[in-house]
Amino acid sequence: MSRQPVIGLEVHLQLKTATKIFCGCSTQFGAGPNSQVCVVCLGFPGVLPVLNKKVLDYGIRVALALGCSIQEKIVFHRKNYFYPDLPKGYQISQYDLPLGTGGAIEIAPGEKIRIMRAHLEEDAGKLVHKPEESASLVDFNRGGVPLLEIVSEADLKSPEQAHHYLKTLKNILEYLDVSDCDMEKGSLRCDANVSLTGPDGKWGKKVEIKNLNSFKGVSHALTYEIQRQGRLLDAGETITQETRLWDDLAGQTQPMRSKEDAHDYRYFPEPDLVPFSVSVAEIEKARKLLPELPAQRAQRFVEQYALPPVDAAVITAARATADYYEDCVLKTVPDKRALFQKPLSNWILSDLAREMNERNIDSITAINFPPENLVELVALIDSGKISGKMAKDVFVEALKNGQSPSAVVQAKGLSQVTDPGAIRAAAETVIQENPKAVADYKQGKPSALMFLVGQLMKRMKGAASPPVAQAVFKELLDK
Amino acid sequence: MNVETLASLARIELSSDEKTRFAGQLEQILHHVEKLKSAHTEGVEPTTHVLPLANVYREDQLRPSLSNDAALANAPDKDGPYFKVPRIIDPAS
Repeated sequence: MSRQPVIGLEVHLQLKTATKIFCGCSTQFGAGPNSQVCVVCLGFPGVLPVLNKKVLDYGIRVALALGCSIQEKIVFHRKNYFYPDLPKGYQISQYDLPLGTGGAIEIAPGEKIRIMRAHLEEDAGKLVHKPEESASLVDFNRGGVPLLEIVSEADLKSPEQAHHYLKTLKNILEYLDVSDCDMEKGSLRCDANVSLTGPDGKWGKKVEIKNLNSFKGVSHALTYEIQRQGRLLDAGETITQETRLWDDLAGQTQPMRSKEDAHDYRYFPEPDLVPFSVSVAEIEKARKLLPELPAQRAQRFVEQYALPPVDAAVITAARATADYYEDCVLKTVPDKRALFQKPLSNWILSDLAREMNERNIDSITAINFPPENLVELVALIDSGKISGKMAKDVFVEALKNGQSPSAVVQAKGLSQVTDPGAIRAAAETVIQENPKAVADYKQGKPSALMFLVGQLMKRMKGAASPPVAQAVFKELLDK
Repeated sequence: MNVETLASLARIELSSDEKTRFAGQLEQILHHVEKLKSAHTEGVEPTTHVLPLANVYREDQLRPSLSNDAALANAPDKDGPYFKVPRIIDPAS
């Protein structure tokens, strides 16, 4: 049996509260260095942290959405280590009594990834390095910003599956509206644990990879690390249990020198914070207040818009895309809605999705093509002004110059020829030039008619309306 | 766990004299804690707090932060609005 990767992900989610987890300082991103700090988040002696109620509420919302049970007793612990971004010499985190445990999310039909735990903790400050002075500068604005850490079980078996899990998790988190979920800004961060099974199927030594700040980074780093470990094992060497940093530019992981000594965090209960408990009634209330999640929304789209289940699942995965679709339906004139709901979805899943892919855009809102433009485009096809094929060009053109689809049609003189008289002359030429196809048609081959229409389209540069062209050929050949 | 490991975790340097002295003192402390194990705790829930207090929260409301000057007033070293510390040697981050 070949070696199997065993992967677990730790996701840190920055919760979008107005103030920090244990003090009233602002969490606003981008303020001047050390301008959102106080004696509590700077760790002055003798100060007392007090838990922000909203942090607990947000944490419960996420834990419930991930299928976790909320613990009867929630306790904070001190995680002790020295690092200059940690003013107290410890991080207030959770240890054996975390907020939630034992959840799971479905990343594909029947494919469940278990969530081990979800716990609350405070973020550390930010270090700015000054190599020329051999010094580091510290900004503590981020210190004390609330984080929810979501730890998966080591259920993931490939970089692709890990990527898929992360994407699904992010989609759910976006629906919950408790975080910006922006990997680039660091409000969603990911560390990975990866090992390879031996020939006996047992897990090998595990390596932790940090600094995975993009979806691509996660796949690349895991692929690299699996290959690195495989090569070492092939050469008869052993894997060192260690923390490695992913270097996106170099495309490799490197050992993290500062954390060489074995982790010994000496966790102990935080004496400055009392325990917390959430009553069953409160949990049930929070569960009722959970927003519609991707799976439920997909179900509703099947029922409400008659979309095929697969299409509904894809379109509801990302909240922004589902919102875009519903906005399109809403902007369609009511008596056309039933007719447009499938084509609108098709456009989003094909042309818009391709555009997002090609330009590496994460959210549909970043595309320069608002819902009213898509509705207009589908209406242009519906009214016969342009063909489906022409619409694809109109879409590309509208994206390029930011015009509305009808403006493009007007400017390019693109509208479709629907007048049979204007098509007849070209159709007669096509009939003369293609006696074989005409003979085939007369022998009852339906494909021959399509061939003739194709030839006509070529001659008219796609401007003829296909149904009208068919009717013209039938009229000319059937007489 | 030996005294040297503890000292290294706490980032303090100990002379060999101190190591011997602290090893003895720590031994006594551990011995004392060991005694607590003989107390009858059946049916008593473990606790970390002596007061019967739980669920102390604050609302998510802004309070004024320190001025940058005040925040840095006690810093051993600074650079503009930043605290300044010896270089950290990680390749990235």
